[in-house]
Amino acid sequence: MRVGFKMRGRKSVWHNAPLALWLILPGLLLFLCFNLYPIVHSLYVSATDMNFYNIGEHINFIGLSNYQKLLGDPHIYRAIILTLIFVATSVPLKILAGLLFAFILNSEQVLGKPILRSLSILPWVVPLIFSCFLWRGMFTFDFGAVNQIFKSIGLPAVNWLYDARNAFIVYIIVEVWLAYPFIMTVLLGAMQSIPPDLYESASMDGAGTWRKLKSITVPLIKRPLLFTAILTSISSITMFMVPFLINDAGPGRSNDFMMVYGYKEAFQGGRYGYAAAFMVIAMLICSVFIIISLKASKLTKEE
Amino acid sequence: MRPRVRRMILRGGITLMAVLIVLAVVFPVVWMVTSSIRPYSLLVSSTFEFIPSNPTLAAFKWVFLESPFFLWLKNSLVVSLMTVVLVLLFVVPGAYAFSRFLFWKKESLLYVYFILMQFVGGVGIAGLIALYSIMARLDLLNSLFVLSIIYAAGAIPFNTWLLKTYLDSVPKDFDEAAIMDGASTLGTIRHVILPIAKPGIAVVALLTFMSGWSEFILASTFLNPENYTLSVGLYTLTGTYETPWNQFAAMAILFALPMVIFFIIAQGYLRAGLAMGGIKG
Repeated sequence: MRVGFKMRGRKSVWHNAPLALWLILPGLLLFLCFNLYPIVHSLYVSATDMNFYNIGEHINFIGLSNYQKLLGDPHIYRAIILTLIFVATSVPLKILAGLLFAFILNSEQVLGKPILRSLSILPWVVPLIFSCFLWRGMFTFDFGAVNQIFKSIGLPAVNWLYDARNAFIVYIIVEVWLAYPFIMTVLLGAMQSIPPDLYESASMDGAGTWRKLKSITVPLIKRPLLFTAILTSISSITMFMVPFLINDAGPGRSNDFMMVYGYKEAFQGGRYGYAAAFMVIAMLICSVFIIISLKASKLTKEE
Repeated sequence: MRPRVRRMILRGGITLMAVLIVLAVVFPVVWMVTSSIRPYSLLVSSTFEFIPSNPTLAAFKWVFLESPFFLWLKNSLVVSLMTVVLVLLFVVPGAYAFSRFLFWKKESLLYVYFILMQFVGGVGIAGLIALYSIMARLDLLNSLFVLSIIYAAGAIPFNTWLLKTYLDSVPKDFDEAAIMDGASTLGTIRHVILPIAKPGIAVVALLTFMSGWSEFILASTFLNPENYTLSVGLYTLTGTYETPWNQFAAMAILFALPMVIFFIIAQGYLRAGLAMGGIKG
């Protein structure tokens, strides 16, 4: 770790916490006002009857009745369960894909790695909204490339976007495609920082590829792996853009994940108060998940 | 000779596999590009043709001459550039403080910082409903300037962190000397740090521009049609069945192209930054 430059008998100029605070504060305040405060404000909205008709006028404070109504709404349980199924299915696949690409692009056996590396981060390079539209096109029934390829090899065309379960599979595919470049990049960085002589001495001791992977690579990339796993889980729990843009989380409301349900209640149904209450519940679920996974992974402990 | 041949075959086989996997993940983007130069009649035909046999630029002609492309482009540029200016104003001093000054538990805070950012970004819908209600009551919806303030606020933590890692790699002898000679901190940032840290600041500017350019949810809920940005405009095209896929693809590509170019420019720095977050194993 870097240690501040110290002069004999005098503290370094860098020991000036109040000045540091003044430099950090303006940016921090802007972030707090426009990003954290709205989240707090949604607690207030959730206790009102704010809706499409009264949003600009007088809204009524109705206490916890939005929450009471939520408890009896079967749709929210469906949204929560659907989201958890998505986490359970997409996260392991994303990690596996990230690991696979990292291994491939770190392997001595593979030629032309620089080109392959640049190409394989393409999903990360194009804007998210472009990617969602692109996959929507890929899975479209008549002109989508997926069905055209299916037909040209003799398989029947599949109704991807107007069938709830098929659409769910499409979301998983798209999310894996979107997420692996980040996971791959972090893991590659970690793999490349492993000193090569570790592998050399292991080889001299007669360790095979599998043994080296198990005893050297995996333990040394454990921390970055856990870190990316947590980040990518959060992106699965809070999934919004992929289902919303690919087929409006449809057909109908059959694939409303938590965030999509909140969005539709607010901006398509005009029930802002009710939607805010559900988003508060969703935030609680996310927070619990994050706290548990941070504790379990011991990531915040300094080694 | 034998083992060498075997090794070469092995390498060739593994490389071929790697190439196929990478081609598979790149394919959708290539398909989108070829879609834009495909005549509409070919699009709806049932046979698959990877490279269109009679390519046409008709879709691009439609984008430039008949669609509201230039209005949306102008709005996107206005919002993104305003966001960049705001972000730089707030991020440079913050990153400087994080890089140079010593305070409590900086290393651990980085993790929390990152997670918090992801959290706030993730529960965007909760914040969105509240922000929408606040702005609706203040009658500030449909303003590109308000939108850019919100974008800037959201971009501050990540870019502060990114620029901090860049400044860490810049020797602090110069600014330390300036401060010991009695220069003010803001003066030091302006006259010493800004010139040395130009590449890092350029990357922050590029990334911020990209985030403003490609943001969709806030823009689509806040703006009215005359203020639509490109991302929202694209979305409205998907709703109307009259927009053929080749025309949609053409505009989507024009929308994505600057991002790809910027990313290529910023790539080296981004990777270095991530390797640092690299979260020292």
